[in-house]
Amino acid sequence: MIPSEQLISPFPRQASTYRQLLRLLPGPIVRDHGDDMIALFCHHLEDARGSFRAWLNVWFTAVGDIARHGPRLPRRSVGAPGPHRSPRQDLTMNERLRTLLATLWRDASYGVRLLRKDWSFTLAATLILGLAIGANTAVFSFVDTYMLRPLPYPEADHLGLVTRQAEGGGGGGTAHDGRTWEAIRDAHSERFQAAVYSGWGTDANLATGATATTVALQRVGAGYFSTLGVPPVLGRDFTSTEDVPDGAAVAILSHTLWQQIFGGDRAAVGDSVLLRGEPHTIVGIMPKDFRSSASADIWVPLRASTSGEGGGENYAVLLRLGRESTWAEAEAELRAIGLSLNEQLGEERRPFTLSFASLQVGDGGMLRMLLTLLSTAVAMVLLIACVNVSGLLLARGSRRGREIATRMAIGGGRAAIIRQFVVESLVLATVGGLVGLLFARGFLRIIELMGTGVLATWRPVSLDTRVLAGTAMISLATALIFGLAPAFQASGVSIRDALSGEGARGVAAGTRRWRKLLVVAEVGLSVVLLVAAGLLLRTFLHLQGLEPGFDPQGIVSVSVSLQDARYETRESVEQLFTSGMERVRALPGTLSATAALGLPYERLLNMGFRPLDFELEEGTNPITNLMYVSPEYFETLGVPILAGRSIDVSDAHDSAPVAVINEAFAKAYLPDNAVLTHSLAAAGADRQLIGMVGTVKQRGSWGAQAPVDDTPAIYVPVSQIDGEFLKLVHTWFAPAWIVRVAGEPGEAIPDIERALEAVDPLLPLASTRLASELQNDGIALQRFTAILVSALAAVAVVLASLGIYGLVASTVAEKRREIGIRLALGARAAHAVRIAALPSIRLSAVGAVLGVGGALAAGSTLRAMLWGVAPNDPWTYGGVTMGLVAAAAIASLIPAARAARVDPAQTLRVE
Amino acid sequence: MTPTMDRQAALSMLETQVLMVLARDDLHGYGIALEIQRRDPDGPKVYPTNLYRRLHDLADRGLILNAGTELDDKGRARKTFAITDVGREALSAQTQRLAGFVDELRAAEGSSE
Repeated sequence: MIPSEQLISPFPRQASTYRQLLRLLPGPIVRDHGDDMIALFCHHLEDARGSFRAWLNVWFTAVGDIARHGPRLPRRSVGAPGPHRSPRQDLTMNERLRTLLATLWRDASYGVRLLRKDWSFTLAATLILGLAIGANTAVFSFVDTYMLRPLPYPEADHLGLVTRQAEGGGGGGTAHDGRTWEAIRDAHSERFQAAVYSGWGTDANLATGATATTVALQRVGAGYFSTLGVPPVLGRDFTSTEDVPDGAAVAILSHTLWQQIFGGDRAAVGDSVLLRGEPHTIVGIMPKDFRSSASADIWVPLRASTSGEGGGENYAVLLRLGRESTWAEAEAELRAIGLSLNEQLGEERRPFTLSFASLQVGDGGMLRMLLTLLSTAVAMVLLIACVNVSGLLLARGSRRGREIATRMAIGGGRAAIIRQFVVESLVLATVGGLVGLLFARGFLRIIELMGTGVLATWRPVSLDTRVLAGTAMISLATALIFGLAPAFQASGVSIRDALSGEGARGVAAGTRRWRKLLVVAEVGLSVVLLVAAGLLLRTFLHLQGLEPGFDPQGIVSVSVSLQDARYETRESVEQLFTSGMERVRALPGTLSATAALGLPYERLLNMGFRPLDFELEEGTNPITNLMYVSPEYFETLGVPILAGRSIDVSDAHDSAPVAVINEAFAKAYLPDNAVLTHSLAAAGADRQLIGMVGTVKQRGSWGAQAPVDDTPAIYVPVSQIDGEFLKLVHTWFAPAWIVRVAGEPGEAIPDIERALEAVDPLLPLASTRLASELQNDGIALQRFTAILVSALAAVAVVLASLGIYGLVASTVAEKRREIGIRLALGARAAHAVRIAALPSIRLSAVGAVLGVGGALAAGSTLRAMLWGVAPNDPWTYGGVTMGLVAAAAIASLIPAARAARVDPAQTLRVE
Repeated sequence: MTPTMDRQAALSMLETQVLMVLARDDLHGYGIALEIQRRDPDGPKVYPTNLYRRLHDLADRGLILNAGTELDDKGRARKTFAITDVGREALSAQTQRLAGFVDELRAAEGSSE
């Protein structure tokens, strides 16, 4: 019996743990002396009080003490006569376990001793493993946060998004119009609870006292929060009477905003804030760390309708599956709703099918693709690292031939040798994993810094216990991958050969086959990674090198959110733009100034138009970007006017409605070049085309458009747009003043901002950017991807070259004798080099061919991320293959050349 | 293993210390460890399993024996150990060995000065 530790210990919990460990020792000892042993252990703990290191040391030593001495304690009381028995007979499970633990402990400490002795090997292997495990850990923590970890809502697996698929393919997604939402709402399904929301977070102005700030606003329907399963901590959700056109102006604040404005005062509920120029009553506060689909500071009712915003596909519909229902039932019901809606609408709209996607999947398509790509890339780097370390171990294994043979000769079985090698690999992988954690911290920081602004909702990503467990798994898998081959290899040593001095060669004979495989694998994997990196890099360079379509020199843009009750009429908006432009034009250095709904490289409003006097080709969907502009827009940006005239001050509210199209629009929709003779209906008026301008690069937003593309666009004067339309588009888009200055635009920013702030002190400026920043933002995702994958590919190439170098170097070391003999017999040095280097160059070529095959297979999955380059781009493939084989050749020739300088006499004498 | 076989085997440092402590008085394992640490505060700490392994060995070699049970001040029973005559012999042989060793060390130190 082991006495209860409470009686004797000031450290009850630690004593209890230690007592569990003592169970490993023979029963009689613990029965007679368990008390004393625990007391002694606690005495050491007492001595170590106050120092973490000392505490750790006590535990380490105590565990080591049990593992080392425990197996040697006989199974009887001290001093009692021992029964005579053979050591292997009648071992209990406990004893077997103890013996195994002791053996593993001995193997591990032997391994540690060897690793410490061979420190250059250890350093190289640890660094290689650390880099690869670190990269994997960093990427894994992103994957875990975004893909594996359930969304932070109760029963998140019951949450879904309604999806729409147009019949006959093409056109689908999670965006719906007002009619679809009303059909789902009015079906009052018992299978699920549904809520509508707008997936977009937009900037909005929030005035408190005399200051104004820009906050992120999201509009959600009544019941959104309860559907998510997270009710406000204070106050309540929106009611259905608030969520109708002209409902009460109410808002729900995020915890953070509540703390900022009200300092956490509970009386804030019922108080009001001036949001978008209009007083809103606060009805609720969300819990700390709550996140909706957009990163928002404040929520207001969506007020879904079937016209205006609701006329287009601008809503998302959230589902929560009922407790008693299954997804299949919910899907059947959605299908039925879709079918009856198709019937109702008849010819009005293309028929479609309604279904659902899980919220986690539906939420981040691009992100998912990016993370899958990165995971694959880092996994390849890890494989290459494993191959590398495997190579190092093989080389080391052949050096250890004699040691292994000795062990086997004195009775160590093959299993024991394999066990020793595997334990050593585990030790190595453990150290590698620890180093990897350090690297992972660094990598995470880098990815986070680079990723800011790339993806809309960066959730906090950190190294926590889940990730640590992941790292442990990765390290373990790594150890098995790189450790097993050398272990089996080494244990196949011929004892006689090894001991008779032929050791190195005895091992090497079998090892050579493995080495060949390793070279092929390294080169193959590197080719796949390099091709992916090459394609992504070419995509990025292609997008970056595109002609912008305007003159970016000296351009400054200042965006401002006009979701504001004071700017709901055409007059007030025009007045704001004009006085802003006047103030900026008065600044020295300003060449020209204008205002518009959107900026180059950004996504614009897309909507339908109707041709009035021309025919569209059969099957063409009349969709275009639409942008309102102030006079001098094209002149300020330097967009060439290709036909007709620009929009100017003569295009007033009461003059004939006009529009300017860009070249891409003419190419896509106009049957002839006679632009100026045509007219079309768009943005609430029948408009005469008065000009055609060059195409400015914008973000693609429909069909198969690139991240930055030539998209068809219609430009209309802001003076010819009515207030309702302005109010609607301003809920999605923040317009901007665009200024061209002489000289350095960065220096002009403070003056421009001051001038614009003075126009309306209660209207905060949302962001000020130069043309180069607009371009950077437009292709940020591509840059991010290209840089990360290229960095990984670079690591892969370095590792592969080092690996090839190492393998060839040790092959050469073994062929010294052969080379020496050949040189002694009069062979030329060049011949010797060829013998040494040619086989591995040939192997690299084989690896490259296999790699090209793999890359072709992988290339098709990359297709969605490539622009301006084909997935099987011959230049990329050719360049990568040649480059890698060249690198392999160099890595092979360096050690081979050294072999040729061998002094034949010397080599032969050694043998 | 018979008790007599290993009687002449060399004593480890810890075994020597155990015998030294027991040479003064019978004591239980915990007390032995504390006494060793008191006498040599800078020396290596004595850990339980190692200690009882040595006690086992010493008992098997007949250098110490189980001296019975002692009640401590809290009324708990503790098994105590006592040194045997053979143990005292072994300790004195060890003392001589160590003394010779110390002499050699001193001589080496003296010659290097």
